[in-house]
Amino acid sequence: MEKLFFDTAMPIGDEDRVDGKAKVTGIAKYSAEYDLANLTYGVLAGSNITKGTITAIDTKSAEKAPGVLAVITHLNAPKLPAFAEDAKPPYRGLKIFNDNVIHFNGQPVALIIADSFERASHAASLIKAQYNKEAHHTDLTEAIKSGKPLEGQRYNVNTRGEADAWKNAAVKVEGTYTMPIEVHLPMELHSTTVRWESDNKLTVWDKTQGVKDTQRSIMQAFGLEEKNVQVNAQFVGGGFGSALRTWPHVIAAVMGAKQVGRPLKLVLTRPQMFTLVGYRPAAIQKIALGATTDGKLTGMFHEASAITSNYEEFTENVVGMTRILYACPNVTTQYKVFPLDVSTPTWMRGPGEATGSFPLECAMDELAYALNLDPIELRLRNYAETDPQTSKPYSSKFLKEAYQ
Amino acid sequence: MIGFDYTKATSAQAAISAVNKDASALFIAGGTNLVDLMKRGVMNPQKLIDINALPLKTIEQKGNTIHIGALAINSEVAEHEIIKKHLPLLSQAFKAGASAQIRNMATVGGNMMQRTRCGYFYDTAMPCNKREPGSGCGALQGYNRMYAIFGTSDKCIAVHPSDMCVALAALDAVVLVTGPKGPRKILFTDFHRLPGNNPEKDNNLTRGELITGIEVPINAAFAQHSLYTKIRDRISYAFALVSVAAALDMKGKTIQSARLAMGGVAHKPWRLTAAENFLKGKEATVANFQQAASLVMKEAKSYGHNDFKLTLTPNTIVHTLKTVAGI
Repeated sequence: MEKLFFDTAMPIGDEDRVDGKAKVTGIAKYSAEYDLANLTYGVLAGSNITKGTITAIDTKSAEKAPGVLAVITHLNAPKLPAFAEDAKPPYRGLKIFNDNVIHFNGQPVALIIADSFERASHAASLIKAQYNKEAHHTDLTEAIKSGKPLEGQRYNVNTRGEADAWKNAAVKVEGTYTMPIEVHLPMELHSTTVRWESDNKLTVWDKTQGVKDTQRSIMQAFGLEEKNVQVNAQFVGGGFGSALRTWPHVIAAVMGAKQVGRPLKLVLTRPQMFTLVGYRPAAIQKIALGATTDGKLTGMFHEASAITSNYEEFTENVVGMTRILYACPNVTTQYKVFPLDVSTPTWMRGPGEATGSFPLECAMDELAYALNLDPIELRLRNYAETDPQTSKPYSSKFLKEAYQ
Repeated sequence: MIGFDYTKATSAQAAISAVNKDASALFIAGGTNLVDLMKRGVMNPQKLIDINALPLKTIEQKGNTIHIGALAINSEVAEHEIIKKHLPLLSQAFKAGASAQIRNMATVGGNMMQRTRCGYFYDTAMPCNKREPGSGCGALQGYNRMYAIFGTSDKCIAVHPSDMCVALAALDAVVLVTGPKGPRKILFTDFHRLPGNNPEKDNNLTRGELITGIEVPINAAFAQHSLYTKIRDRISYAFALVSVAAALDMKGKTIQSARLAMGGVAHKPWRLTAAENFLKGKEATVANFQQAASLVMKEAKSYGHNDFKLTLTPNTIVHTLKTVAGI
């Protein structure tokens, strides 16, 4: 049985960092560094089109390549009951290899399993898919012009006080702020190593920020009992949110290990880290602030447009900060999400708030400039002593001290 | 990456002969670009002829010329006393390129042979006339921010990524080459090609030809007033949006002659001949520099995402000339 970190005698001495020595000497393993007996290697091949369907997929050359043990595609993948249309609960996320539909460029179309990483990679390059290509939409600017945002309560306009108060202010600033997709790109590539111990029991070494979550996802996908799914993740080589949910490659690794009857290690490539483990969604945000000549905010407007995939509704709290950060009686916010032909975004350090704070704080600085006021002074003049939404006192707040 | 044979050449003749007789064979030296291209499936040589053992590493002064061997390492050339003294522009250009690790492995010859970093060239799922003649150019209607504004064709708008080459183009370097038909010399400015109808051909080498070295004339006046400016998104490890290599032969405030070349704007280092001719005999003033720059811009064409280069280019030319002239 694998020795856990704390089972190993480590000369700790006076160090504050219990894991420090392990990390700098290479004893601490990334999830891809577990070498099991009889290990095989899985590599994912991705689609070359952005939207459409696979009409044919030729895996023969890959299957015949040296060292290749199996190739899994939508044509031969096991149909997971969890993926069924009427499954309870309904499956969230990409149903990998479940059908021939392409939702985003780079979507896995095949898992190649071989006796070495290099052989699996080479065989993956031999997969030839033919597609019925459809027109794709991946541009948020275009979507805002001619697309349809999602509907639902969270997308309604939220107004406190007077909606257009900022327009009548003595001093106004307004602007449109654009943010592209931001990818986590942690040092550690996402990887999953799977060993089935028996027909219904398995051990997994996964790059995850939550072993219980990965455990639950595998249990759900494969209909397994909790006591039969062990997920190990001793160290995380940077996650920043990219490993907060179980991505399709994990499910593929579990499928692949079962298929070949041997342990399997699947490591994403660096380019795959841009599309297969989420990202902070792009946003285009309109913001407007109005104030008196002494710099008291009289009106705020913040409309944020962000993106999600066409197969999942990803949302985060983008405009919340604008409602609570400053004492202003009249605040209007709206959050819009446009589905595009992309993979699903995910949480990334400061999810939502980082996105929404960017235009808000830039606009406050612009307002300070327009008022000829020091930017900190402007914020102090609009300091919220109580919660602007409810008037309730804060249990604690040291923002003023932080400013000073 | 496909499987390939690998041999170490023990002589230039053996290397040339091996590449000449096999269309799928390529030379490899530092490998800092070729190996990437092979990993990406962009280039798939079935045979690599390693030339690192060939005696082509010397850096020396021969009379009024500096001779740099094709296998001289980029970082070593940049720091060499002879280069820093006589060709400071070249030293600056080297240091502006790549990263320390890459500069320590890359050779002079390889720097000349490096291929464009166009994203469509690199992505085998995308149309690219350079990689697959006839397949189209993805950059034309695509994300073309880092692309050319001079010398383009409707087949290809890629840029040559090198900094070293811009300095060598400005300094009237000569390329020494040897091949199945023997040795020859190529003016540096004639080495790289414009895309035209054959963007698959980056340069004018013929099959089997091997770069053996570079010769650069010494010019003390240029060495005294020269500068390489590189404008880029980051201060390190980033390609040029635009770059300018400038050298001025000044007598007081008068420009006796000028050498100007640009990177990031064309399929080859872009020599600014019209500007050089205009500046000859003129006084070093902002007005003259601006006029020189506007002559350069007459042939400029932008493609959407690189429209900003129409402003950045003349501004960078003027800024560089002002700095070099000390005004």
